[in-house]
Amino acid sequence: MRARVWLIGLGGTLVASALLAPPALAHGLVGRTDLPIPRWLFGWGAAMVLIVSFVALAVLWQKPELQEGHRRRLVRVPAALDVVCGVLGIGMFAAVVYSGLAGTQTATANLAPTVIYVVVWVGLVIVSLFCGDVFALFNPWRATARGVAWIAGRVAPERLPAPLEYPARVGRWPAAVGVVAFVWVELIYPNRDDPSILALLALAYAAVMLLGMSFYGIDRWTSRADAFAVYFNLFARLSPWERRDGVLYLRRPLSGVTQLEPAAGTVALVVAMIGTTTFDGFTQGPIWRDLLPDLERPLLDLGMSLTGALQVAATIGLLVVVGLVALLYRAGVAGMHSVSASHGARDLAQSFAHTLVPIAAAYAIAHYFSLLAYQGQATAFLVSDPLGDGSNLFGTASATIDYNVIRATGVWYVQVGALVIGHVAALILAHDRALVVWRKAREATRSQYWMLLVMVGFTSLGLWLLSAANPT
Amino acid sequence: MSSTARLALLGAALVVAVAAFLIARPGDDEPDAPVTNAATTTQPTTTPTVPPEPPIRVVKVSGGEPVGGVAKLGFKRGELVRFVVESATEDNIHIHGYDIDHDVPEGGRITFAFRADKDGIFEVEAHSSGAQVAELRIEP
Repeated sequence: MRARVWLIGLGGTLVASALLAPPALAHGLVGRTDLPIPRWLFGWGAAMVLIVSFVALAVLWQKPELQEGHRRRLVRVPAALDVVCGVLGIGMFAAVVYSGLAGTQTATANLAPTVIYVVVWVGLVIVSLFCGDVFALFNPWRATARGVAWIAGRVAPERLPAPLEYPARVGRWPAAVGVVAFVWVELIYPNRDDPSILALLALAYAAVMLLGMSFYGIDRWTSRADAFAVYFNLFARLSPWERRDGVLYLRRPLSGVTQLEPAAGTVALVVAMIGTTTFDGFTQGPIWRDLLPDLERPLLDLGMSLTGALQVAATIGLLVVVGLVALLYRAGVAGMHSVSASHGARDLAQSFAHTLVPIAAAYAIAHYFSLLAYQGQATAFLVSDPLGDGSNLFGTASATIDYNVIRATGVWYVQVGALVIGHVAALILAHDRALVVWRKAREATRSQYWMLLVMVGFTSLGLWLLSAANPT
Repeated sequence: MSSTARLALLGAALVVAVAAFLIARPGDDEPDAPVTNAATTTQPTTTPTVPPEPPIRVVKVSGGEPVGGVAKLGFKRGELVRFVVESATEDNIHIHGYDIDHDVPEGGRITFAFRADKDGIFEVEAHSSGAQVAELRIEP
């Protein structure tokens, strides 16, 4: 019941504050926007996608290689590390929330918006890809829950109720909804850069997570319903690092994501991850610019304010783009299903959901790398002056953003490189899974023509979004 | 397919990829040459020694809002960026990224002139309203 009250309160705040800001879909944080990738690089990227795809068909292996971890034991992870990182995570969370509430309400001078949108949402994607599931170590609400559970276990071990059975039908749906909701706040919500509202939303999210963990158990809830934990964990599964039962292992890259437990809502989650980023790219392009007035007009005729109409139109746009991404994946699944009807389309959709994770990672890097590279530098002066009141805690308050740390050409290569590498990783994962699903190599190959089409579709869409963004 | 053949195919693909990239990528001095040729052939009357000075763009602002939409200003990295902001009301004009700002008196104009040493798209903002009045686009 408490959760419902929180959610209603949250929805109320969102609606109430919806009518106060000027209508536009862009971050107030961003001082520099990316130039569209030039035509020659677009052509090269598209050519690479095709070459890579055909070479892959010829050289890929005949037996599954990634369905097991092939783990190599490295070191035992001390339990104290969890305690230290958990406390640090709670401390950082408290600092961000306090900055948001008590600091200046100028978004660029307050620590909270940059940490939430840039350091966490973008930075941790890249960290997870290379270093494994770092967010799990620092996850502040999980650390709080574990601390409380530890104390409760000490004080009254016999009176702790067993967690409720987590409903199988719910699966990863809460995480999928959470990803869409976060991106809605980031891109569409008019007060997206308002530090105090962000801080309140962060607190509300933590409260909902604590309630969920208390009902359904910390690990089960975190691995299914905590949008941030699930999101970063998916990317961390592409990395070669695995932590299991207190031991750190080195595994084959990409093999971690094949171990993803099937659960309801997993397809929705990866589709939401790709669709929300696609929408962000799409809104910077000419089609959206031309389409938006037509979407807004009927809403304005209904008597909506300009801001309200933009919000509703953008929300419709976001959901439609996510829906189209889902449709593209479903089309590929239907194609695979047509190769042999021995596997149901629903099972196939589940079996191949993990193959979209590298695409989601590539999209995230292609769209947000420059935000991290430039705005990420703002962290240096924001940590010294988190409230924007002129303090200088670490002596870095006078640091500035160096817009030459990487040039526009460098950003382009990172963007196109990420898409091509993501494409290769997705192809490899799909091929490897097909060898398990269809025992005959011939059927597996035939089924993969369809997935190849889907992957080429996603990667070309990604390239096109980059080339059409911010036109002259 | 044998593993040697696979490796050969991978190697060949890699060579093709790199070669295509090097061929497709425009060189630093390439794009300028044909442009100047075209300019001299289409305009034979102008004296060849003095390149035509591009007209300085004027961004008009009133009450913190751009007059006639957000102006688009395009330059190449390394060039001298020059433009004028003319405001009907008193304002402060700020260029994001470059962090240059100048006051404009009521009914006055101010000239911005600086070297384009950062590439990307930067917002020119009127501080009185926080609205974007121009877009500064610096191509690499």
